[in-house]
Amino acid sequence: MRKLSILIAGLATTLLVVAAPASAETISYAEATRALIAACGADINANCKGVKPGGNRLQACLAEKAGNVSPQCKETYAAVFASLAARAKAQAAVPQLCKYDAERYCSNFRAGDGRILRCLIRSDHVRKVSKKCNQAITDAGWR
Amino acid sequence: MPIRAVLLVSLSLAAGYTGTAFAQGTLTEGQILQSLAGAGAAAGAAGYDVQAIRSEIDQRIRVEGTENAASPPPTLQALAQLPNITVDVQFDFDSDWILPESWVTVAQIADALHYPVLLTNKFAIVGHTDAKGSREYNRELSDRRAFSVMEMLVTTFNVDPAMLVAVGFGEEQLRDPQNPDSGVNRRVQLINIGPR
Repeated sequence: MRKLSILIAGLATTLLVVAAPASAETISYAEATRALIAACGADINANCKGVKPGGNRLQACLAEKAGNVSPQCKETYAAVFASLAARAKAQAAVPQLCKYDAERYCSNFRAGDGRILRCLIRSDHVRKVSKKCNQAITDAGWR
Repeated sequence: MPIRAVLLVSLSLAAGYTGTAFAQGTLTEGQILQSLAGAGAAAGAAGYDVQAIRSEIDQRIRVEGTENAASPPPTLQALAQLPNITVDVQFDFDSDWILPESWVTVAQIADALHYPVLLTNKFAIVGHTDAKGSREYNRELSDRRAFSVMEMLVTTFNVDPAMLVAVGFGEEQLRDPQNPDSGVNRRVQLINIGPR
């Protein structure tokens, strides 16, 4: 049991680090969700049955039921949702951070549906694309 | 004691096969991607009109003698030709709430949909039931479940809503028509309906 708590604490720490704004590493949605379910699956089933995770509803429920929610879940869920939010923010920032590179290297691609992104990450372009654009694409989890 | 309804999520991409089923917990991102990559133009008709498909199903439900028919309506047959991967998504009984144990599966689908090779395509999330209960009820439940998967992909995992459409086929396209009540018929498909 002690090992398990250490593991969970480790996971929570990892997520916290990842969620920090300056962090470069983006964990996958599956990894984030695995951490959430490992720590909170039982709490969700017991306290928040029927609550969907989108739109802050699950966090609101877990906060409301805080008295019944396990410590490992409390440690984890905020970090998980922070990491999801950080990744969404990184994705939203890509068009602006890659605007110059897109105009320079991918002007012949139609905008708005992933074609420019595919152009920017092509191996012959990755080397030329600006560092901030490359980093933004990595943070967005789009490689 | 709620009975758990097992649905299957099936992701469809390149042309020509009906997909592989993966048991809960054994699915990997690599399998999803591998199954989904290379769809492109092969999926062809980006013109799938979900509203038209919905009314085709509703019309058929009203026709006597079409229940458990060996062959589904033509549009649905055409969609079945698109390649796909099948995974488990479990819902609460009689509900569109995805059980927490299946959230990782939806997250894996989201990870796949965020890969640049798939970002240029559009996907139909299709809900299917078995033949227990009325056809109308099953259509409605499968519709809500398909929308629930789409909602989680969009609101929790930031998948672009422009990449997705959702529709419920009810029991009109059974996976195992010889055993209409079998659990293998309950599933959700994600079908690559071509470049967007």
